Amino acid sequence: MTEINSNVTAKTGDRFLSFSLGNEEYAIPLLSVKEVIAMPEFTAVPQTPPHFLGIMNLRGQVISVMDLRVKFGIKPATSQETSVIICDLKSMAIGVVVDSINSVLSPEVEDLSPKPEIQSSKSTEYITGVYRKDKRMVLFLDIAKSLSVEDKLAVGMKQAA
Amino acid sequence: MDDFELELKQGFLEEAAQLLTDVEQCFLTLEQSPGDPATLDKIFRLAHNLKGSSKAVGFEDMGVFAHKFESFLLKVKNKEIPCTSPIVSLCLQCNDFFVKSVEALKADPGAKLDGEALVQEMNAFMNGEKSAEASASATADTPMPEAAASSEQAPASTPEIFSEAGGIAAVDATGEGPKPEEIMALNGLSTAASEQNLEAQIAQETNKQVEAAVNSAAGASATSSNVVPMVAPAASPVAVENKPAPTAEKKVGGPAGPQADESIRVSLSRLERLVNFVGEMVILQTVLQQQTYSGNMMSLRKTVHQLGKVTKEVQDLSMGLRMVPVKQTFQKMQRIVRDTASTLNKKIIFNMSGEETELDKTVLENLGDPLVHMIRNAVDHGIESAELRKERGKPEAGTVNLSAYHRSGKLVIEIKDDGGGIDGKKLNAKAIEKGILKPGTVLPEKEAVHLIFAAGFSTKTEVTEVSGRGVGMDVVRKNIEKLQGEVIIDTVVGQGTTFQIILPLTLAIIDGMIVRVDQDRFVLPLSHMHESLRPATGDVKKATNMGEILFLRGENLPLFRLSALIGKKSEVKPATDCIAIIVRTQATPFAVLVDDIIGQHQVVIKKLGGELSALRGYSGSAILGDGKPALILELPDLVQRKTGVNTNDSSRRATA
Repeated sequence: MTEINSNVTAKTGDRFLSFSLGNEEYAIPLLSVKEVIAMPEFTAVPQTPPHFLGIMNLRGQVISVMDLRVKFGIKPATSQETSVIICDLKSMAIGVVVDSINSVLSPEVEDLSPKPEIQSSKSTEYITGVYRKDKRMVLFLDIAKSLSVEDKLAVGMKQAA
Repeated sequence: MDDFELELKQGFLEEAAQLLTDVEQCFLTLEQSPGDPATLDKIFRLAHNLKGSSKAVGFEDMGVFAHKFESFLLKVKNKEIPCTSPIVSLCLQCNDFFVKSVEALKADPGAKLDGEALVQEMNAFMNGEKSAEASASATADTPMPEAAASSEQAPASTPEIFSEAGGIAAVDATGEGPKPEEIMALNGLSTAASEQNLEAQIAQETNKQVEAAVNSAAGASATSSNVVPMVAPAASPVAVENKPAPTAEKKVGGPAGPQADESIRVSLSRLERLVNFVGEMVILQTVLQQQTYSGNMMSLRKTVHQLGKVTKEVQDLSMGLRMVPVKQTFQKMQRIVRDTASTLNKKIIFNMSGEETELDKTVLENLGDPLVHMIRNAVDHGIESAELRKERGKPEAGTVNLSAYHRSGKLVIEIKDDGGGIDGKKLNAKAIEKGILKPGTVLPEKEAVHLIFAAGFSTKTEVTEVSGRGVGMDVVRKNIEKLQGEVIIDTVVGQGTTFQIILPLTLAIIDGMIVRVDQDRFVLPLSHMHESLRPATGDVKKATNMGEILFLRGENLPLFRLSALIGKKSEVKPATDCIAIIVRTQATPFAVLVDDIIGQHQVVIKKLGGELSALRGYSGSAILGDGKPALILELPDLVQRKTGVNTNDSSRRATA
């Protein structure tokens, strides 16, 4: 299901789930979202990167939970609404911790713009586009790119070391 | 095709596959005791069944072939054709054709089958054998081929079908290359003809007057003795011309279409017991629900206890549903031995034992390929040539034993041959030659033996039909590793080799010991644990350069702290407050220190997601009683990662 998105300047009618990380707003394609649950109890897994919170039990299925805030280096908001989005990626289901769930967006084409070219040491490959409406700015994420690809490496690297 | 018909066909195909394995077994028995009437009867019955039901569900092609096969068998059964090795081989080929057909039809119920080459070969046998044997009984059925041949000479006077059959010979006689459509046409015609033949033949069997009747069919042609010589030339070009047929047949078997849902055979009594227990569980659940209102702790506890027992039963039973006897897989091996031995011209006595041992179906399915390789290896590399065996004072026929048995909660499959054994020194030299080892390396004998698992390694200098590409054992190792099993090799040069494949009975549920480190809980597979104990004061010594050491009944075991193994930073507790777990699955035993043991439970293994696949030392996770997941640890892997030392002395264990 990762392929669903990638190209944000797609047709109108695609819908996105927006959520907050700290004071910033992000969105992922709605079709890659399986469900949203409250913060569960999870079990830490040794020798994993810090943003890898651990594994949780989702009705008998064991799912890895990642914290996007730690991953992006965003200071968590003190929120009561911290939730986990269960994303259905191509080969796996992954839980992503976010500060709060905001809304479902159905952007018009004119509201979308490509991501700005910014000189940054950090890779921004996982940002696929920017949505602007009034004073609001939402960044569209490719969740697979932002998490799994690099993480597989990270976990693997740890092993080799 | 409507759903009902499709269902019917699928049902038939599954049944047919079962029948065919039975038949194959019979043929192999037949080869050992030629002409055994009981076996022949059984084969005949099975073939007849196959014919009947394939026609009933509408697989005409298969029915027609089965029919032909049946008529061929009838002759064998009636001793009109001697039951010799070539005949059995042909039967096995026919059996293979059936198996392929079943596979093809499974993928595409409309698949066309072409068994013409085999039909011709059967015909050739039926004809050829007869002309060779001028016995009295043989003369009785000579008219049949005559009729076909004679129709060429006098088409007008012979029945229509036979003239068609004559047409085949005519086409072939012209020497034109066989075009596909022609082959198809031939197929149809000759099967039609053969059907006529069989009817004629059955008539012979039942009716004594047939001779006269067929003679009249032979009609214009002179005497039977005159015609016989003409049969052979007519028959042989047919066989040759149809050579392309096998390739066409392969194409049919080739494309593996979308697999239908697999099924498994379960005994009714097992299923009934399961249903009974499920019923009991439902009742207990109702009881439990009522008791939650009454608040009587005692009876509540009793019910929960009861429910626990029933759940365990249900679990055992439902796991049992997945278990199948290894028999079928073993039987296939018998065929492999036979074929390999005949290709290599070796005499092999093949024994099987423990065929009734049960194993998880998925495990068994993945075991097939490795077993084939290992059995072939035993016959090809293991057993020496007859001359060499004589020289070594061994009986001419080599022995290969295949057995399965349980040993401490695991299944062991043993392949034992009395051949030449594996020469570690030779392997070592070869490995250096092939660039697998650095020049000058000398491995200990036991370790060198394991070189056979290296990819691209083959001791054979020439690639033969049977072996020599150096892929086999590599595949064996990969497959067995996938099943979390291991291979142990025990070999004595000049006396033989024993391979032991050790497998877990099932991959879904294990007995686990739940241990605690700080606040984290982990599951250790019980099969890894040899014992657990609380170290007494003075049992643990620390050496700066070697880490901690545990004295255990005169042994010095390396001691690791689990918290350190998993990279946790926690205060170092005195060893006497902890519990040491001794692991002896490896050649080098070691001890691991945990804070506490919480309990022993059966846990259902849940795979970790792909994002964690690179992480070693964790074989999965399990959900504990409070609903939180816990990691299942592979202690040997963890220790290996920590120390960089392979505790699997590789000469003993091939896999992780």
